[in-house]
Amino acid sequence: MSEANRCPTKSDPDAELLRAARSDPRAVFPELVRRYERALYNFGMKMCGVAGDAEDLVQDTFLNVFRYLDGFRNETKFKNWIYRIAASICIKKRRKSKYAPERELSLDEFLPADEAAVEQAVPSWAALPLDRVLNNELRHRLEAAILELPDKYRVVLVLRDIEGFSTEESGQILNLTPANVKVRLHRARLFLRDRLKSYYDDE
Amino acid sequence: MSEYLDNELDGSLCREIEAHLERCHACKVCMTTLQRTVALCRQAGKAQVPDSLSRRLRELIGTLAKP
Repeated sequence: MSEANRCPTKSDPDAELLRAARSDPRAVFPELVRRYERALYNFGMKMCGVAGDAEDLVQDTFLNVFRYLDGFRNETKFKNWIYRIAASICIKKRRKSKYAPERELSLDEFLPADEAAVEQAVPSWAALPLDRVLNNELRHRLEAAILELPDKYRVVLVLRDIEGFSTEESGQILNLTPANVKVRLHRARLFLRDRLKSYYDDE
Repeated sequence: MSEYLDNELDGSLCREIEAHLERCHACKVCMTTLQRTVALCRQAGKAQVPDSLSRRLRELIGTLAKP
C-alpha cells in the first residue's frame, strides 16, 4: 500500500481524527460516536421504522467501525465508509427478517391510466409554499410512504434525498453504478409522489 | 426528470426540457409535483438520539476499552 493511500484526504472532515486513531484507535471512539450517532440513528429510523431496530443497527455499525477502523484505507470519505457498513448491515438484517422476494418498481405503474387521468393543474400540496403544507401529519405520511418502498429503492432515496449524498457517493456506499442509483432514485420518488397524491386526493 | 431536478444534465438538454415544460402543461405539473416530493424529503425531521441508545454505546465503548 502506498503512503498516499494511508493519508486521509484533505477534504475529509474526519481526517484529523483518523490521524489520531493511528496511534490510539480506542481514544477516538467516543468522538466518533458523538459525530455519527444521530445521523446513523436517523438513517436507521428511516430504513427500519422501529426505534429498537434502529438502535441495534447503530450499535452493530459502531461495533464494526471500531473493529475494522485499522482497515480503513481512505479510498473514500470516512463518513461514506461508515454508511457503507450501516447500509450493508441493514440490508442483511432485513433479508433475514422476511422471505418474500423484493418487489420491483416499474415506471409503468406510475403512468396515468388514460388521457383523462393526466393532471392538468398543480395540486395544492405542490403549489403552496413548503412551510404551509409541511405539518406533522404530512411528515408521518411521508415517513410511512418511505417505509412502504421496497428496501433497494428506500436505501437509495434515504441516502440521496434525506442524507444528502451525491449520486456517485451513494453508488460507492451501495456498490451500484451511478446509472443504477439514478434509476432507483427516480422510481422511489415517483412512488412517494403517488402516495402523497393519493393522500391529498382522498382528503 | 429526476436528473433534471438534480442538475445532472448538460445545459443544452436542460434548455430543451425547459422549452418543453413551457409548452406542455401535463409535464409541468408532473415536474412540479416531483420537485415538491423531493423538497419534502429534504425537510424530513431529525430525531434526537434516545437515552437508551446513548447508554448502549457508552457500554460498548467501555467494553472495547478494556485491555
